[in-house]
Amino acid sequence: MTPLALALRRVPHAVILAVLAFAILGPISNLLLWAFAEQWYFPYKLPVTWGTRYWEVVFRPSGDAMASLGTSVAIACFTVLVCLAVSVPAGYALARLKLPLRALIMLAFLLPQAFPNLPVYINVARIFYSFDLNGTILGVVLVHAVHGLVYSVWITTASFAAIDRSLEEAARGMGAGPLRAFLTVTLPLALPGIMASAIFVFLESLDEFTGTFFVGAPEVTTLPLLLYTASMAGNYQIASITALILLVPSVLFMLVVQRFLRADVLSKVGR
Amino acid sequence: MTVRLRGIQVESLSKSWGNTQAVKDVTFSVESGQFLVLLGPSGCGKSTTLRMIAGLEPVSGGSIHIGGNDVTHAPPARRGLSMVFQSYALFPHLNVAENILFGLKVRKVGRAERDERLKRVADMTGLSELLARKPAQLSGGQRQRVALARAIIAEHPVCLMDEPLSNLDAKLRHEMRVEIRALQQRLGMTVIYVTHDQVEAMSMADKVVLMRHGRIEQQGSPEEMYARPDTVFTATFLGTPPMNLIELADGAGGAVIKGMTDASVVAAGQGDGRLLGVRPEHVVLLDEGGLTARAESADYHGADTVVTALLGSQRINLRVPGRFALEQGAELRLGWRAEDVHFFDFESGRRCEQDALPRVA
Repeated sequence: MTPLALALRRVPHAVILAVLAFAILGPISNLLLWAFAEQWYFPYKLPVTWGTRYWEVVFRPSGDAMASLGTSVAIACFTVLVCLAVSVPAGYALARLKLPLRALIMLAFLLPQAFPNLPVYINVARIFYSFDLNGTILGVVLVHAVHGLVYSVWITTASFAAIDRSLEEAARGMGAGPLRAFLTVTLPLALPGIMASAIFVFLESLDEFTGTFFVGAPEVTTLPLLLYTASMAGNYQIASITALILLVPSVLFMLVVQRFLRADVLSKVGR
Repeated sequence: MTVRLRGIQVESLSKSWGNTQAVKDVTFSVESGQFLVLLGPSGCGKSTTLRMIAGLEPVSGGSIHIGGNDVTHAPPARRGLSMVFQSYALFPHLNVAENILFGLKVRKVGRAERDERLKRVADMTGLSELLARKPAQLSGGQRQRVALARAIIAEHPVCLMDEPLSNLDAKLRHEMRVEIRALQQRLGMTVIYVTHDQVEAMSMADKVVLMRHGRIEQQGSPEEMYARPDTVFTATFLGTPPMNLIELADGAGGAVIKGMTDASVVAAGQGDGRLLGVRPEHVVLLDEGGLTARAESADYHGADTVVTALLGSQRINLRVPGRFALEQGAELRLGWRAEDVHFFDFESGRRCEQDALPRVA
């Protein structure tokens, strides 16, 4: 085959890759343009004045953005803690013990995803109102945790199921009690999967909008809520910069998750 | 009885899950320092029996005594035994030294003693150079050695092994067989060893317990079981190729081989419903007389050849030293000594006593 023919064979791949790259990166490049535009109006194809004035607005210590970033991260961390507190024991039980209705329990965690979000959150908000949970960090954390539990329970169950049971038996046989065997053998081996699920929960919480809006607003302002308010007010620069800030942890963590989630764990998800 | 107290006694042990009985009324004992092999085909209950002795599986009925103490319901750690798993069960996140020392750390053995015991065991198993490696960086044979080292460092008098060699290739398996047996004798360990490989059982065991469908089929020393099998199952499970079993029939003047035209009498008495058993190495080629068979095929092994012949319509294997030049369909004259012949009842598969007529003068 001639070099030209070889090169021609690569053309379809290149076209597909370019389309894919544009679909993914196109919206982001628009965000980038807006983030550095100080003035941009019709009919100009590119910003009229460039600058970093809005970055200073966003990153001003007294600014809303920094405060809501703090709130967002705090809520995400608490959500991770709540989810892990449930999913580590639940995942171990679901993976190891012969529970009746095991499939049903797994399904129950999926249920909140099955229904349309809006009616669920409106009802949650009504119920939380009677518990004085509306507008509190705790309320928002609980809403996020319901969402996050699907990931954490399913992935944690899979990571426990992927561990050879004879490892625990060997540890027990060598004199370790059940707790010691769990802490020194099972838990360290399940840790990559648990970390991956924690990252999913963290990112879900960081991005979550609907539930936060109904349960948390206006007292609790997370970054997505700020983004929404900014873009509704026509302040595209603030909105774009906020969106870019939200993008950073997502991309970073996705790279990490990809290393944590091994094939043997993934193959056990949902079993 | 005082000597026996140091060994292991298993009495009427049984295990059932719902309606399925995996182990039924199993009774055997191992004396201190003995090497016992639990042998049987897959699904015969041998691994379940071992797991009950290890305390990894709750017992449905019967009792287990180790060193004179009733441990039937004791947790694994209190039984004073160590176990080698088929999968080796090495902790992948710990290195070789940490794997071997796991049990000692759990039992809070002092650092100086730990180091000294680690050194001794590592020398014994040839792992001294590999202590810092993770299990994933070891070969199959090396992993097997780590599992062994982890079991013997505990210095428990009893060691249980669940098919420890089944993941190794044939050559390594032979080496490890010799090594495990030597180690067991050197340390005076009492070993219960589970395998489906009759070669392992014959070559390593002081005592073999052969299991089938959850029950003990026969137990005894390898020599006893090979020389005097109680049942057809034992007769065919031990030995490669297995014992020849030839159907008999009633004939004039005694039992004859079923379907043979020149019906020469091979045994006194009843022939119908009986099987004659004779091991391939006990069948000899005669120059004249004997039973006439037709040569069918020859399987050359180097030191000897296993010849398959047709005795009437029934197949019979015989072991001939060296190479055998096969002429297909050639006439062979076969014979055996009366004391090498076994008789079994066809229906029950049990041994029965009958007088064989000598086929070799």
